[in-house]
Amino acid sequence: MLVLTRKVGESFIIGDDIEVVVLKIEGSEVKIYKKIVEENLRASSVSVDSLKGVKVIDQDRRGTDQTP
Amino acid sequence: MLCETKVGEVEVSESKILLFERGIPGFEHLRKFTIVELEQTRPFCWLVSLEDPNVALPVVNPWLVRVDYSFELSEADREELKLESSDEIDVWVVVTIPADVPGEATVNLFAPIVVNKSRNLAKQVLLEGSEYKLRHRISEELQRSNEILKKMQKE
Repeated sequence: MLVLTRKVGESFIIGDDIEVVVLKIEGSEVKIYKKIVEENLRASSVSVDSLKGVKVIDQDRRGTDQTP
Repeated sequence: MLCETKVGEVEVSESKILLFERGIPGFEHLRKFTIVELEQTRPFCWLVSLEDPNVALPVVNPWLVRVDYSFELSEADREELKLESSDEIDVWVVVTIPADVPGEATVNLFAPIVVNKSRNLAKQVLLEGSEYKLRHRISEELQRSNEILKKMQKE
């Protein structure tokens, strides 16, 4: 068996007229990264007004006072 | 310095500029951000790009959603953020609101934004191998957190 190592953009030639180019390598890390890209893009599309109705823990109960 | 941002014109002092050396996933071309606090969305803040006035992500202190949120930074992330043991960090998580329905809002606890406050270096880190996911519904987390808080108060 012949094992070749190529990075994205590199290629190898089979015979006289077939060139195989590595276009992309996708591992689990790339997939996770893509999901985070999607999530960030979704997040940035939100309007200022839509956040008004979202409730979180009452800060006084946590004992951290972040009010000015 | 007065900056035109998605959430309006904001006055940003040099010391408040956060540098994301590798950008943020989805916005790799942007490096400079700042955190803007808006009165009308408090306690939610905005991670605002200082280079593209169309980019601003809503963020929140994760402990206001999940009281027992915890994670360990990898050695690589520590190095990238040039964190030394004495450096203080800030942590933010990104909020997503599907179709602008507030009740469905989620937080990304899997990829928190960590800031080295001493050097103003920031990064969205990935907590691989952790129990956290990209979407935790805020309303569910809130219920869980309130139960934990109640138990703590009884003890």
